[in-house]
Amino acid sequence: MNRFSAILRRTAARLDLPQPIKSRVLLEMAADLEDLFDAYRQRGLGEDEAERKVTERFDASDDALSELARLHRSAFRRWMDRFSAQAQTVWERMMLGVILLFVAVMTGRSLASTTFFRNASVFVWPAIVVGIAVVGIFLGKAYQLYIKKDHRVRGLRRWLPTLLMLTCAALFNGVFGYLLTLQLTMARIAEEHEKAGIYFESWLVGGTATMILSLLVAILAALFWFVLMNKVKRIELAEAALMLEAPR
Amino acid sequence: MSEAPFEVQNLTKSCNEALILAILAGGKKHGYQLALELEERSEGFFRFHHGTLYPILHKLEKDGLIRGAWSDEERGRRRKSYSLTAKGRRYFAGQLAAWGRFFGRFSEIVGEMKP
Repeated sequence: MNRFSAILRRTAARLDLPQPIKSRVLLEMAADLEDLFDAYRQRGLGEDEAERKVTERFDASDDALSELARLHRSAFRRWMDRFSAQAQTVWERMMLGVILLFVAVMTGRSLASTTFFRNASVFVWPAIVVGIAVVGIFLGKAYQLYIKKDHRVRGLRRWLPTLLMLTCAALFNGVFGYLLTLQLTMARIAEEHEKAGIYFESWLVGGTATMILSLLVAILAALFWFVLMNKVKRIELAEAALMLEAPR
Repeated sequence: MSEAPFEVQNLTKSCNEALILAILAGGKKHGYQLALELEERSEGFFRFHHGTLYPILHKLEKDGLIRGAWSDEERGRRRKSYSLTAKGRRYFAGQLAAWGRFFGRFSEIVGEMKP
């Protein structure tokens, strides 16, 4: 364990960078802190004195850490920051709500139709499982953030990366299912030329239904993530503003 | 980048960059070595806090003026050392000339002032 792990932990908590960049920065700092300590010891300082001097020299101010975070922020993250809660107007939020409602209704209507399931390929089931997980996570997080108002910083972002992962899973399922069923259909057509029309039509209807459902689930998951992430950012900013307020 | 104009408004930043590049012109260094060498060579006049040092080093690295390289584990630790790139050497030469001009102009004006 690093002698300066307490400093590093405090720095890690204040350094707003994604992994693994954050780990690399902290690893560099950890090695430098230890080496600086060794250098002071070689110059004849006692352990306590060397540790005190190193701690004093470290002094990672908020400005310095913000500058580090800014330097390492990816183009994607800079682009995403433009959509932060502050950047949105009331109209933009309303539009987001309308889009969310539209996608949710379309997904619900697709799932409610019996012909949809009769026509769809087997890949519709993973999409439904992903969809259920997405709705479950959204309802759980919405309950936590909007109803229970559990705004403890530690659990604020929990499950949000999972929503993004489920978005990717739904997309992958749709594309993979579409292409695999096409490949299987072509193989069947090669064996039975006379039924080519029937097989192709069957694939087109089934594959399209699966693709539509997968895309709807992916869009829904991404929109849920966006809505929840905005709420989380607003809570974090309110928390930060409260901490910065001067005591009355 | 190598012909960046000297910005009087950013004197501190330019000064910090020039000092780090000057130390690195002497060879590859770890972050802590840079800070220590700077302090010792200036007899304590220039003291870099690590908090200030990392953003400057990472910016210079991002701009391609210095190169950071991780060494293999020594005494159970991996270390990052920095060295000047060819672009960094050209930039440093430009900065030296710019600092020379700055001090010349500065002395001309301040030198006229008699207390």
